[in-house]
Amino acid sequence: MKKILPVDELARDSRFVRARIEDAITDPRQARLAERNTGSAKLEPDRPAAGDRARQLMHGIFVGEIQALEGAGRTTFDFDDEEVPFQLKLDMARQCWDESRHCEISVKLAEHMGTEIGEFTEATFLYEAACAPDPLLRLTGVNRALEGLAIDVFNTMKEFGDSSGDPVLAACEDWMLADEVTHVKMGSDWLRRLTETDPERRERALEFQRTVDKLFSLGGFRGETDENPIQLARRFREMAGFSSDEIDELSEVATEAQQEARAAAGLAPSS
Amino acid sequence: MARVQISPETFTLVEFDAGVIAGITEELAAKAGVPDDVDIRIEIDEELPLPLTGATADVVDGAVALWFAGANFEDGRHRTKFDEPVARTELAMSLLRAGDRLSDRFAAAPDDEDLTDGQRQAWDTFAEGRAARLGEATRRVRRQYLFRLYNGFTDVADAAFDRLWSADTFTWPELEELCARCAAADPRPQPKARAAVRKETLKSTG
Repeated sequence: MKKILPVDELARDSRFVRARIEDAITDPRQARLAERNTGSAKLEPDRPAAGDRARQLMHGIFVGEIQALEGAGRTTFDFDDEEVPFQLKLDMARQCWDESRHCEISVKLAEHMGTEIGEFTEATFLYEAACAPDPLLRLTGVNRALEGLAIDVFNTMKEFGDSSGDPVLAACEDWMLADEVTHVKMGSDWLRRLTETDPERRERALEFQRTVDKLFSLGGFRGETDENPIQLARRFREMAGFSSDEIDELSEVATEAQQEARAAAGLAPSS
Repeated sequence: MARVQISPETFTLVEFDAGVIAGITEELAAKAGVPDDVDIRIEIDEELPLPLTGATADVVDGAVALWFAGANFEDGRHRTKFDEPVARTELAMSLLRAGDRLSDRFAAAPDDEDLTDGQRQAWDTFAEGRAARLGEATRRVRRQYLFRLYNGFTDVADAAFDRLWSADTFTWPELEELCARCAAADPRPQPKARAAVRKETLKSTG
């Protein structure tokens, strides 16, 4: 079996249509939309098109879960026992089990919201970030950055479920959120253990995490203001082993990404 | 002048064709029972992408006035592309609702922008159920989710949804009363604002 499987070889049936980040960036409507005052972007029931926004996000979560499963699965296989402790691989195998369950839950949640598999496109940048050749970069890029994003997304969706009075959405997201905290904690713990005597390697891995975090802030997708649909979940990140300084830094990275996106669209910085 | 007018006449941000939309509208207006002598004006805001859906259906000076976000006609799998089955359903629903407004049954209904989210979803449910029976490709589960968002995740709301979906006739007072019953059974606090995409996105940036 091939090691380090490229993204274009992922198994998908005809329902799945790939999207590229570039498609969104070059869509002329994005700049026009940014010029319009659409009010708070936070996902709340009283926001315009809240239902369809939640449905699209749920589909994004579903395809993200597939890729998280594929990413964790690759890490159990791509490295031998000299490169990666067997116990770490066991943790990744446990994560695969969790992600498989999340896929099933996400499909059912999507059905509950009236969304079909493949109704929206699949962006594969999550899996692409999970293909780093260095296992340590996978711990920071995937377990800490991407699973950290999952904490933010699930917490946002859980709050949406609570505020919209949807008991099914709220309960399922809360359940999955608990798993994501564990996945991030595994990344935090293994990063510390594997770099105990090598601070330079740890710093390189954390630098990769910062890059992925910035990418996944997606020009204002995540942050701590009303302009961000996905809110940074500080409390759960602390439970997952992030320090306050790290969370502050992530918040700054998100703001930076948002300002860069506004500048690219020819807009003034937001306050 | 043509009975159906589409604005803009040429789309520059999305791959929609005003002629195609006008043709579909003519066909669906006949199916929906909009009288032949009533003009139909359709405005499409092509700047609004998925998932920023939104639509209004009113009658202004005796003409049907429909407004749509471009998102309502967009293919979720292919950005900026026209999704004909989805567009047909959206147009059919709005024409059916405009037809309701032209009848005595909905004479007392406020303009779309003044409806509550719950009333709006109830009317859309009544319209989408009829569109399904006209043979259009509808999305019942999506509609039920949107209905529940604004009328409650309760048994009362689910029963109201079933009644609206299967009804061929309804009146504004009946619809208003049904929504009031849903609100009475809904344990959530009353919403702070309405989710009207058109009002929000037409705000000036100043």
